[in-house]
Amino acid sequence: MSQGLSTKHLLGIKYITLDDINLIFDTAREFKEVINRPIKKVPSLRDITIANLFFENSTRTRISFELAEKRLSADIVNFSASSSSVSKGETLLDTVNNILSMKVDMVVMRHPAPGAHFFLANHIDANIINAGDGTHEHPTQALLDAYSMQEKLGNLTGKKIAIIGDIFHSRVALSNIFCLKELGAEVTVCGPPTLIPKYITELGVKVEYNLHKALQWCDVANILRIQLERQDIKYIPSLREYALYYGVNKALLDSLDKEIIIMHPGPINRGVELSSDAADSHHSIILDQVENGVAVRMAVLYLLAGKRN
Amino acid sequence: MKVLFKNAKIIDRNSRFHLQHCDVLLENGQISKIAKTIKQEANHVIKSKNLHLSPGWIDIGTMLNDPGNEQRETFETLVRVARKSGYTCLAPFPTTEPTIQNKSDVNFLMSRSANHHIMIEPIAALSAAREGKDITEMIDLNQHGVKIFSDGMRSINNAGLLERALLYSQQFNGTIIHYSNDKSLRGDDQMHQGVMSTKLGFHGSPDVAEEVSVKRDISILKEIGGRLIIHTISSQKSLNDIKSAKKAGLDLLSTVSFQNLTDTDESLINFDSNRKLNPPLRRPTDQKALLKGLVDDTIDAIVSNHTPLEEELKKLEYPYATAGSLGLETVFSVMNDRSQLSLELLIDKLSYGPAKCLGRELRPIAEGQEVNLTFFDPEEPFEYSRSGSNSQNSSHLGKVFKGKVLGSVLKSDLIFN
Repeated sequence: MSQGLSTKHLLGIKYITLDDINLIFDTAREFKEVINRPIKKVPSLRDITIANLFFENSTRTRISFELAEKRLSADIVNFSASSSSVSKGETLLDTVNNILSMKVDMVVMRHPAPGAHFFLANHIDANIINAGDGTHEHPTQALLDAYSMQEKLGNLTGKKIAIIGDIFHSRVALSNIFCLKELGAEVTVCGPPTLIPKYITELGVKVEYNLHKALQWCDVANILRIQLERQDIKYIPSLREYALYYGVNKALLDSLDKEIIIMHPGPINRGVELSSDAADSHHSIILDQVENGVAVRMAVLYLLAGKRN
Repeated sequence: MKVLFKNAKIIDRNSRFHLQHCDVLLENGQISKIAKTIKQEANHVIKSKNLHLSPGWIDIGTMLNDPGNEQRETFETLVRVARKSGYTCLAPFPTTEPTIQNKSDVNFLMSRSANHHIMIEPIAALSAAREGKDITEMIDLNQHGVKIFSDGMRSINNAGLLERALLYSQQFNGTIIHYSNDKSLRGDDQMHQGVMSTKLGFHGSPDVAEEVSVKRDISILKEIGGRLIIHTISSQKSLNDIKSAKKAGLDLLSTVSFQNLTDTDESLINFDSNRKLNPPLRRPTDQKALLKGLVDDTIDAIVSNHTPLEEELKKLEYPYATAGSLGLETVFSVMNDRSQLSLELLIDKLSYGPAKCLGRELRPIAEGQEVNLTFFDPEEPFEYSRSGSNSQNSSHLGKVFKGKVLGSVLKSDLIFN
């Protein structure tokens, strides 16, 4: 095992190594044990101040990070702004510099601009964790997804994962692809052709337009949220048609020859990409994902704090 | 004033001294003597280990910001930057505010250039206010010295407008410069659409946007005639069309930006906003094809795509940054260092190539000629530590390249670094 992470920031899965991923998982396993104890708090980050900067709406990612930080005894400051008020970069740099003047050690940031974290990493000294940057990456989501799959399936080498939905506008899809490929899984993306990027196969994934075939093929189906808020053009004619041909429901799952695992990064559009009877069925590990999210984020924070001079 | 170049290798395919090592004496704005050795006193004696001499270089499509955006670059800083970088002639785009679209605008530009030691080939707006609707008063502008019309890096989406411009300008054998890029196909305009844009989560701008527009332009040119320069082509696909159109005898020329010859979209992995360009950096295969296009003369000229932009427009998250980079100061060094192009061909595409595009006469190096020379050393390192422009938007800043421009002489005006 290597000594710590290979990087001082978590900007995206494609910027870290397989060793990094395995180290995060090993550490997350220990933290998962910690958060299931009666006393859930450890003093690991007692001298560390973390700023959570959310320039885009988020509920579960923000709460998950906050909880992870609190469990590690970090001091935290929260900043939220609607994306509309932050469309100019100087505002971002100014905002962040202001916060850093208050001696912040780590920044967890969600931002609508792909690559915003690189911009920040070039200009400030703190450790930066990407909590989602536009349509680029959402690395901690991919880590917790892969961690949850491993919990159920063991080693992911050769395991078949289908990622279903709006691949085009999804940072979760991209980070998932990078992470799962690194761990040796086979990946198929499935969705209507207008929501699949043209060059996606160059990332080593297969493309399947037929939902039933994709489900029949896979061990795990990671179902994505339809990101209507990111679509400036109509890529699909209607949600009705999408739900009919790409919505996963219990009847569809029952029609398969085998049991598969259902995942969703949330929040779910119930009745669109996933029906309630499927989301709440025994196939689903959606709530495990949420629990693992805290452990994985604790691991990331802890390991990156270890990279501070 | 006398200037003496010692043991300079002449790079000028039209000169009888081409590839020879000579001493060259300049006197009162003329080349007075070229010989193996000249023993004479001079005000400036210029020596360098690998001194090279060529006709003065020409840039097409330089961004002009004065008046309008002087915070980016004033006319004075532009001229100084150009001359230090080996350029003695600029054909800047009418990117001033207001644009250049009537005789007084042209007269103003030309009167300024008369005060500065540079030659200007004026380009006026193709459409009024560069809005892409109606053609400007081209005949009147031509009467005041304009032969070339362009809306700069604003593509003409209205095919009828391009048709009218090509037709109307035939009255005086004018030239149209067009940056071909179909708006409805160019996607999010953040970067080239390919594997890298997919990895970075961008829709990207596909090369088909350029291809479709180039095909359209060629069809119009074929139908109604005129003279057209397709500016800064960037993809392999459009090259093939240009090649066959040239073969078919159309009066078509093309240019390429040095950035597309020396960099690819792979370098965008870290979201460097100084590499966000228009046209975008494309694949390594495009880069190779463009170099080949220079060799087989499909592409006539290499341009700097010089676009100074203030920090407020560049020091931003990548998607919010404006596309464009400085260019003039690094064309030679970066090309010399990074591209496989021969030095002779490079110099040709910086001098005779653009001269042909602009319909300007460029006289070969010979005794008795008026002085218009650039001198450089292809072996000497060039450290690009700070731009002479008001803007500092270049991914090349802070780097060292093999090959340095030493200066230029225009008539009696010597500028050297």
